[in-house]
Amino acid sequence: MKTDDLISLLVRDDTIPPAVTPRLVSAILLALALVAGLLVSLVGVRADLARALADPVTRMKWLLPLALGLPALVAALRLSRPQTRGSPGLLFAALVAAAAMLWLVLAIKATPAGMVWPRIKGNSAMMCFFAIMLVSALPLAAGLRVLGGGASPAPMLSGAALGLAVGSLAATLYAFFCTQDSPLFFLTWYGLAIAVVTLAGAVAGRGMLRW
Amino acid sequence: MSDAGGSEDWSDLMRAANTGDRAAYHRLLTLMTPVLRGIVRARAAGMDVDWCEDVVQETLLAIHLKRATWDEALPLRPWAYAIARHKLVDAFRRRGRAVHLPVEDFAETLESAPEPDPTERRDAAVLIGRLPERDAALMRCLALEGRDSEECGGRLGLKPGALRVALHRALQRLARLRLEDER
Repeated sequence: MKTDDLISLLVRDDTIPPAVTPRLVSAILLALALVAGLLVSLVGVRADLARALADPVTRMKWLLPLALGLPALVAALRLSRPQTRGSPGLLFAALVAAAAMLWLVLAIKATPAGMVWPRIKGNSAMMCFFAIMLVSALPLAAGLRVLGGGASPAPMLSGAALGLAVGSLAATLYAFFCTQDSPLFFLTWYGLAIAVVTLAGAVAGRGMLRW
Repeated sequence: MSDAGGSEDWSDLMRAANTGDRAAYHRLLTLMTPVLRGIVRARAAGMDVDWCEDVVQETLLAIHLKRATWDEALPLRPWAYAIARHKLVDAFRRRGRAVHLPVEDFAETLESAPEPDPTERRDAAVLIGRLPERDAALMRCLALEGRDSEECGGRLGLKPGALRVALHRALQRLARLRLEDER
């Protein structure tokens, strides 16, 4: 096929590809809403939600993942454009993650030695860890599908940004249902679950976001 | 910004194309091609002309399929060069040749004398042959034989709407075939 022939084919194809941004945001929100509905009907929102939201430490269960997830989502959107260099959103998220880790270290130091593991473990560690990953599965799959229509300069990084966004938003959502309020608990398990989802996004992105 | 590839502004042409102006789109792709060809050949010293032309075609195909990733508020050129760079790096990788192509090289506009498409693309013809039968027949009918949509639709039993969808899907598959070649 001569290049001129290819051009005439391209001109004849008048299907306009949809923009990535609105579709990605709506796909993720829709998938999260679906899972939220399921959780509400199965488990129900924690009964003492108002009290939990009033407590500045417990409030971090929502604020920290949001501070990770929203900039990561902005980064994933930016990275769907081929000429993007660097990503302030991911830099910001990295700072938030570093602050959270510092908090965890300080919290461990401030806790009597014998109490550290029991507090980290809480009474639903595995459940929380897996729940966040489960909540993430559908939005991550939907997000990857939409991002595949983009043109990422770095597919693996794009996937990681999406994973971080989805994992963090899933953790924010899960916080409405999780009654474990010790920072040792949520910093550890929310953090680990978000890290795993980020990694899953990176691995999937490497293959699925190539173009 | 200098104006290699014609006096019209690429961004204006793409904006017109996005509102459905086919003539503007044809003009844009025709203007872009020699510039992209110049860029690819300059960056791919030592590769033969056919290889370079394949990269040019892959770039055009990606520009077409990914045009929604261009932000209309920004100039089109850096976006188009970023796609050319991506496709060039990819093509080198398929050859097992690691490359470092500084981004800055793609930022400048490279003046290049308009050069004709060197040969009938053997490689691209092979790719079309690997598409599903009907996709391949549709592409041959529209592009190689240069017939109009109505005639090709009639021959393949496709209504106009179905033909539009079929052509779009066929182009998407064509773009994916290259990726699948990678080990």
